[in-house]
Amino acid sequence: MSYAYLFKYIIIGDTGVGKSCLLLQFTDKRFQPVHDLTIGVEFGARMITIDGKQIKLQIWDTAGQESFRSITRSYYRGAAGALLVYDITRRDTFNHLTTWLEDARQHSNSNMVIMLIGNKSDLEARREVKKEEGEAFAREHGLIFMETSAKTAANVEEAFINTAKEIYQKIQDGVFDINNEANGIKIGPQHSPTNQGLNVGGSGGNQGGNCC
Amino acid sequence: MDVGIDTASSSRSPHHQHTTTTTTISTAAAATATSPSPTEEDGEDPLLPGRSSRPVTSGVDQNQNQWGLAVSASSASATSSSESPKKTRFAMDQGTQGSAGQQPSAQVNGESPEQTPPSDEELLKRLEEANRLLEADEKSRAVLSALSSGTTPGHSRKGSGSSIVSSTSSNSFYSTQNSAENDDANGQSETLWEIWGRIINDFDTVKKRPAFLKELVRKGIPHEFRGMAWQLVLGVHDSPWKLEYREHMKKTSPCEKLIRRDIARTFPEHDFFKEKDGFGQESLFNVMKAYSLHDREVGYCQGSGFIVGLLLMQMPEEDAFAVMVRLMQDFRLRELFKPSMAELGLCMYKLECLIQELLPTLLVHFQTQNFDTSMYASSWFLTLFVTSLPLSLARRIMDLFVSEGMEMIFRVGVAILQMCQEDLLALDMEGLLKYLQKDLRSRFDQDSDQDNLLTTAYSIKYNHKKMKKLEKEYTALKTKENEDQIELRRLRTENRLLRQRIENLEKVEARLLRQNEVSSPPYHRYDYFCFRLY
Repeated sequence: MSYAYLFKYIIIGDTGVGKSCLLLQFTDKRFQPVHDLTIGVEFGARMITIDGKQIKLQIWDTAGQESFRSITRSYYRGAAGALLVYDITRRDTFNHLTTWLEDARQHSNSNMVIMLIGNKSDLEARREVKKEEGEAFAREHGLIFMETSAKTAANVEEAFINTAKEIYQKIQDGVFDINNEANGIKIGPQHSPTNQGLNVGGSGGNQGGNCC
Repeated sequence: MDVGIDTASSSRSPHHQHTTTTTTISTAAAATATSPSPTEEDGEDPLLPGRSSRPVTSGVDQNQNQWGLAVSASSASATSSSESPKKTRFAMDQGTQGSAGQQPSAQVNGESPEQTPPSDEELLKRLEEANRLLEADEKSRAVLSALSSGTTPGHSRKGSGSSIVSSTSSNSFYSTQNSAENDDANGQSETLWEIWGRIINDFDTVKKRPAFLKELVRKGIPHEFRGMAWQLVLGVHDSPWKLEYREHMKKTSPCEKLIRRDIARTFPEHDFFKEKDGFGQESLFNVMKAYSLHDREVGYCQGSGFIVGLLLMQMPEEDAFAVMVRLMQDFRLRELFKPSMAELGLCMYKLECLIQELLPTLLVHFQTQNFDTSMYASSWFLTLFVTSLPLSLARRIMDLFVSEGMEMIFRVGVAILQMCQEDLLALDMEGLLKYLQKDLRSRFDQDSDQDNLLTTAYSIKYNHKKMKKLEKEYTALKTKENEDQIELRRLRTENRLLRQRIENLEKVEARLLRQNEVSSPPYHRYDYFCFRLY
């Protein structure tokens, strides 16, 4: 499978906010209401296209419970993007964002793109966190923000793809050192730095998602 | 102690509340165990080893008693639980039947002379109260009748509602799997059966021969005996923790919300646990809650639910609780599940060292693929392979774990890698992840592969001395890392302070410069500039 770039993501947030469901919706386009509990880390991958280039997303899904932080932390290193998820129907998951953010900032590279996600937007009747609050938090901390529903798939594609776009833009701007894999970015095997962008082809991935 | 009461009530608790026949627990269990129906005097209290001298049938009796216990103990626990009204009704209602004259032969089973159950009047009063409650709850009635029909061979499974189907199938956790394992092992384990039958009735003697016991467990514990065997091997069959459990049932745990959230996500596809708020989920919740109250420091940690789930497939709640407490306390599980999970890091380190020593090529391959041990082995330790391997194999590993401890998890881990080495060497990181996280279940689906895996595990070179040394190394490493971290933090702070000072000084300098500009002719400024350059 050929790709121009590989971006590594990590999904973080309190337990039960829907991290694994978001990943499953993105990679398999399905919703599993009762997902197996994540012990340690799980993994998913999918191809997307940005600016005509095939980009592979390699996504690490982590366990949300506090005790697992020591394991989770080692996955921040080498991540180019992070999806920080809370549940709009549970205020406490929103209140913990600061701790998550501190943890992420402390253990990741400084250029990591962080997307704040308010998940379960389908449960409007049980909403405890206003959309504006999410937006304000994101603005204050320099994050991108979206509300999603892993159940209805609303905004799920966009959340993953917009994060990739942001990372891609940073590469174009020369912010990311793409030759350092510790930044969570890898250039595709057949895409040497000299001809990158010219050699785009091959669908390769198990799911050929399209840029929104 | 309470055991006697349990057994006694268990003999009343079986299933024919809604059956049309007067099938007794003995026959039900005997049919489950594909063994002859015992006569009344067959009954032995399983918790009073040594009282039986009939090897083969006593084994069967044991099984029946265990079954009886299984039903009773959970109901007994429910008796004291204000949170499990359904089960309370179940136990009591069943009991009424027993005391109302349709006394199953198994009643004799439970009534050992030295363990007198509560007085008849008292029981009757409680049972009548429970009956009244039951009548008020049609739903639990349906569940009950489903349970009865599921465990009573030949009973027509009439009734309606999905609860019947699911409850019936949930019964397989006690029975169906047994017969499946039984059938295929029939030929070779006939003797194992006899041996275990004897052992369970006379465990004190076997306990004095640990090497023999260890070897025997390695051959596999017949499924019907597992629940009792695990308790005996761990020495918790008559543990006061079972009483403690009942106390916990009356309390509220601060972890309840957290536990509740994970219940449906533990074995979501297993018949016993998949029904929302069903018997399985409630049992799991109860035991997890009790543990969180027993051990406030650990409270509830994700992963432990799978171990408790496996236990609950073999035994009632309070027994599972006692086993879990022992495993946590004396088998280092507690260290694994403590909030910092420091022990998990140590396990990873030790496993990696083992792989380096025994499968060096594979470790090099993992390293080139950036495939870290924690990516696949965290769940091996935290759930004792329950989430990675087929349940039949996980049960066998639990046999070994209760007998030999954490060493077995390392052995099995290395054995898996050794057996799969060729496949693994051909895979890239994603392939490796998929193989070790998802495909192991099908890889070890066959009995022959399971046997091979365990035989390989027994043959792994596991050097205790070296492992101890590794522990020390790891501790030193961590201490050093911590010190480095502290030093790093100190340097960072110092750096920040110095930077601040520089900024302040620059500000002062700029201000002075401005003052100079205002008060002095241009050439002075030039002088000053030269001076700075110099």
